[in-house]
Amino acid sequence: MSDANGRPAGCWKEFAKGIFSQNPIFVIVLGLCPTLAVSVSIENALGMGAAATFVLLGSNIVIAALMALLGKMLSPEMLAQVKKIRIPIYIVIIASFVTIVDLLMNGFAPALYARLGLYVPLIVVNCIVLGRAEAFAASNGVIASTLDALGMGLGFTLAMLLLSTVREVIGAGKFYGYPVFGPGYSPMLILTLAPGALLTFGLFMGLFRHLKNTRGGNGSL
Amino acid sequence: MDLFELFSIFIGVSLVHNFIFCQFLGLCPYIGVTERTSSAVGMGMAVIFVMTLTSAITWAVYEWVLVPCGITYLYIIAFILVIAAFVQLVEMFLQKSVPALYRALGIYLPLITTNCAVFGVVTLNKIELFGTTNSLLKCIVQGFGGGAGFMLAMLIMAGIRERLEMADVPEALKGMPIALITAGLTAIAFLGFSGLSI
Amino acid sequence: MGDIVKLCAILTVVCMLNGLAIGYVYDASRVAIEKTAAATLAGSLKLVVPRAEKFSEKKQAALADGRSLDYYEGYGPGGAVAGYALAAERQGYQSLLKVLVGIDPAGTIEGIKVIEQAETPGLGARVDEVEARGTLWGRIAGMFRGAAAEKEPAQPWFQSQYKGLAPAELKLLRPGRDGRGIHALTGATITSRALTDAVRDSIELFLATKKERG
Repeated sequence: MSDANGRPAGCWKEFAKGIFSQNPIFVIVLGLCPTLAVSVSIENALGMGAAATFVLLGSNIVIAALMALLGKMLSPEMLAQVKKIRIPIYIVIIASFVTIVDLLMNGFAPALYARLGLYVPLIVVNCIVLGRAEAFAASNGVIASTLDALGMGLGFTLAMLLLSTVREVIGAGKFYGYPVFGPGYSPMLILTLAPGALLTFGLFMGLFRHLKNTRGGNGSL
Repeated sequence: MDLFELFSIFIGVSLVHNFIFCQFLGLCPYIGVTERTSSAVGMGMAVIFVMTLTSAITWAVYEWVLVPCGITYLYIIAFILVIAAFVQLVEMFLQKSVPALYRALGIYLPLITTNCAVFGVVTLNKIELFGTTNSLLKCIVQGFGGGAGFMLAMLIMAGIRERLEMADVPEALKGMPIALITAGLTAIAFLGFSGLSI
Repeated sequence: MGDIVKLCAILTVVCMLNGLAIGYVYDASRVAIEKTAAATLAGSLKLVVPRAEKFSEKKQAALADGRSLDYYEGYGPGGAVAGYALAAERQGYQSLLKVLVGIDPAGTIEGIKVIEQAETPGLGARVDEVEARGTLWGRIAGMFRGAAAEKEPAQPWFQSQYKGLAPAELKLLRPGRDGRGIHALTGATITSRALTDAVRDSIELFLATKKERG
């Protein structure tokens, strides 16, 4: 992740890296818990993706702005001191945004909130969010951090979308709640249950690695 | 207090709704630390310890601070800070006073702060148990049971992975993917516990 | 020492700003949360006792077996009691089933609605399953033809079976048999039985309590 630091890069690059080359789920492998738990249906995956993207965006912007501000206001020695307590600051900021999402979802999307349940508050311990704060937002400008958050959030959402499409279509015979096959299709239930998530995800990772190996892709996974 | 009820909470959270196999909480250390049985045991012990005690502490913070102040909606922030502070404190305490235990658990403790399983168990406590009778005792049992189930899953996985190293796994599946698939197959076995009622 | 004070000051400022932001969002969303909760309850009540126009606040009945049951009274036009909505619950296969049971004053079921369940997806969770209308392809084709959007949302077929039955008729039918009763969900007999028992017991106990009190 450190190669993202300090290197001048175009806006597009900051945005796109989260989707492909540094996809948080398939490449960096952070934030597995919600990915696996929520990818039962496409609707849940989109809801979770939106919530996580919002938190990422908010925390990345605030942390980048705060760090830039402190960098200007404080002397270098003082800044080094503040850096020691940066993790608690990040955690408080992230937790605030998660609380905001939690409240808003509860108020304005109660059906979705009921289905995602436990996993909305759990965004607070999602490694992606803290990981991006530490690895990117702390040492980059606000605009770059915004793009980074959008890219990472989109990458996260797309990865969940991929998993949930496979699980919903095969496991329930539906796509976004609408039956794909005729009534004769007997769904492969196991994919909608807990083991299905682990199996699907493991096979997807293997597939990506295989593609990378056979195409002689750049860099190691 | 019904001992039976406590037992059923324990079985429920450790086997029927096992954190790793059924709720996907704490997968990161699960994949990361299960390459050796010894490290799996260390991590498991640390998680049991932290989960049990944070369950009690978050209960106290919630009932004695958040509820009287009418700010229960701040529970996410409060809990995550309690966990982070507590883990830090335990680490410092162990380092100074019980060096042997520190050497055994030490390196796993910092990892626990961002372990979803710990935050997961206190959130579950808050959703399911707070407000019921004897909720403190139930929370502690749920915390301990969650940790025990976590350790069980780690041990099973570490045992399998030590043997997997000898196996002839397709190139693309080596490492993480095969670990996930193994976990999936083990999770199928754990499905047998679902619907277990005592 | 001075450093520590400054660090604390920075942390405090960060926390205070956060607190302000959250407090603001909390105030904004609390109203919405209460409103949606009330709307959901009103919708469910209307669904299970369709003839009632107005509902009472939540009431509590002490049952013969020592427990208590929450219920709502529904009033028809003119203020006469048109029915009751009972809030029953029972342990299902792997979760607590919470169900709202609507009855007329004689005890015949007008409708039920499962409020909360977390049964196995694809098996017990099918208590909430809505019969599929058309397929994805039909839906896509409809979009191109500019077909009208969804009408009334369909009700789960399993729960509609309860409509019109008396409590004595609430039992699971043997597979392949027809008649008055409930067709169990395939592979989810425990969930089906738990739900049926919860509905029947709540009605019987409630009616018995009401008769006792006159």
